[in-house]
Amino acid sequence: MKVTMDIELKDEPGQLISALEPVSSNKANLISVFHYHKTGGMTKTGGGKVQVQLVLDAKVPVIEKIKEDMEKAGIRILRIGEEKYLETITVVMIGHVVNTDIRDTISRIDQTGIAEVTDMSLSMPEINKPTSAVITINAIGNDELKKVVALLKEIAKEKDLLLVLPIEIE
Amino acid sequence: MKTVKASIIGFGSIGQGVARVLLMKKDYLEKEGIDIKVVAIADSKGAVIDENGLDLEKCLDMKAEKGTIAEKKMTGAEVIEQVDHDLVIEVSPTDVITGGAGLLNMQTAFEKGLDVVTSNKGPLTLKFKELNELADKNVCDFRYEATVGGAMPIINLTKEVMAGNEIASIKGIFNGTCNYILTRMLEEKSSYSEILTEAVDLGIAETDPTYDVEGIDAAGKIVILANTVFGMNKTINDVDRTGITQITYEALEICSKNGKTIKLIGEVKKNGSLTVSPRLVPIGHPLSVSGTLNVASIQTDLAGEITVTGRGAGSIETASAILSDIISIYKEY
Repeated sequence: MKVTMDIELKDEPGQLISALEPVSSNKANLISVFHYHKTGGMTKTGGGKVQVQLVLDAKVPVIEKIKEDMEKAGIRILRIGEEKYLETITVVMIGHVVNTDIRDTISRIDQTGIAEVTDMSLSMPEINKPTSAVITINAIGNDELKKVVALLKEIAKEKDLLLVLPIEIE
Repeated sequence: MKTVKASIIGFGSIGQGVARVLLMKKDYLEKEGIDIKVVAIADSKGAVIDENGLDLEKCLDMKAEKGTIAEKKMTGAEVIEQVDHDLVIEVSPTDVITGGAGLLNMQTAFEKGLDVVTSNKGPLTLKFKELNELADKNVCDFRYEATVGGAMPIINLTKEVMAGNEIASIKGIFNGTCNYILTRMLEEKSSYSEILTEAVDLGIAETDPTYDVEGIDAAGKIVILANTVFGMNKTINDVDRTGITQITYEALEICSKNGKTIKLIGEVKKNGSLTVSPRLVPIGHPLSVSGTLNVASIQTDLAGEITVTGRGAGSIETASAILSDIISIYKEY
C-alpha cells in the first residue's frame, strides 16, 4: 500500500539522507519526497526544523519497521498512514464550465482531502457557446473515487453541466 | 413438415422486411421442416387476409404501389381475434409511453393462445411481467430478440447459449442513430445539429429524433434486458437517462486528443441500476464501434467478458432476428 509519512528534520545539510536510510534498509519503494525547505519557509515547524513528506509503497509490517527505525534515529514523525493517490479518473464536463466558476469546481474537489485535480484541458469555441473540459482527478482509493464521482454529479447538477463519466467507472 | 399459419401485424419497413426474408429463406425453412404460411397482413389502414396463404410478393408490390395492403377495414387486434392462425409477428410501430396498438395486439394474441414474435419494444418496456405471465398462462411462446439491438444476438445469447453463467452487468451501444451522429460529428468536425440534419436526410434519424437522441429508445432496450436477463420488473421510468443533445464537436475533439471518444452507453447491473448516458470510451475499446453499429458487453462469472456487435437497425437485419425466433419456436429437434 501507499502511505504518506510527514517527518520533521533539523534544517541542516545531510539530515534528509539520514532520514531516508531506514527506508532503503527496509527495502521500501520510495515514490516521492516533498521537501518544503525552499517554499518560503512556510512549512518550517519552528526551532530550525523543516517538514518533509515521503510517499512510500510497502507492506504494513515494513512501514511499521521504518517508523520504529526512524524514531530510534531521533526523527520525529508528525503524521503517517494517509494513503496517497491510487486511483485516477478522467471525466468530461460540457456546458458553461468557466462561467460557472471553474476555480470553485476544482477547489471543491481538492478540499475533499481524498482527491485532487491533477490535469485539465479546456476547449472554448466561442463566447456563449458551451465549453468542454477534460479533467483528470486522482483519488486515494476506489471508495474515495466513488465519493468524488458523487460530488462531481452534484456539481454538474448544480451548475447545469453535462458530466461524461468513463466507461470503466462502477 | 410443420405448417405454421402466421399474421404480420404492421407492414412498415420491418413488416415488409419480414415478408422479404420469408421469401428469401423459404427453401431454408423447408429444410428445417417449417412451412410459414402468412394468412393475414395488417397495416394502419386495414388488412388483407387469405386463409390459404397470401402471395407475399404481390403484397409487397401492392404496398409499394398503393401505400397500403388494406382490402378490409380491420385493426391488427381484430385480425388476431378473427383469423385462424398460430403465430402473430407483431411489428407495429413502437410507443414506449402507452404501449400503442402493439400492447393490445399481444394481449389479444395470448388470450387466443397464439405465439408471438415481435420487434416492438413499447409493450415490453411497460408490461413485461404481465405479458410474460399471460403468455405462460395460455401456454404460448413469446420471443422478442429483435427488440434489442436488431441483428445483434443478445437475448437468446444470454438466455440460452450462456446458460449457467451468472451475469453481473450488460453495457453497450443500443442505438445506432446516436452512434452515427457521434461518429460523424468527429469525422466531419461538425455540430450536433448539422449531423442530425444529415442523419434525417439519410433516413438514419426520424424527423422527430427525440426518441433516439434523448436515449428513450436505448432505455427501452435496457429495460427489456433487465427484465429478461436479470428477472427484474422494471419499466422505462426506472432508467436514469441522459441523451446526446448536449455533446459538442469540441468535446469529442478534446476527448479524441486524449485517446477517448464519447458514446451513448446503456448499462444494466444486477444490483438493479439502469442507466443510459454519454460515457467516455477509450479508442480501441471493444465498445468504441463506429457508425450505426450496436455493441453489447456482457460481464459473466464463468465466461468472463463477452462482446457482441451487429447492425442495430434496418428492416432485413431486424427481420433476421425475427426469423431466428420463429425457427427457435417451431424447429423440431
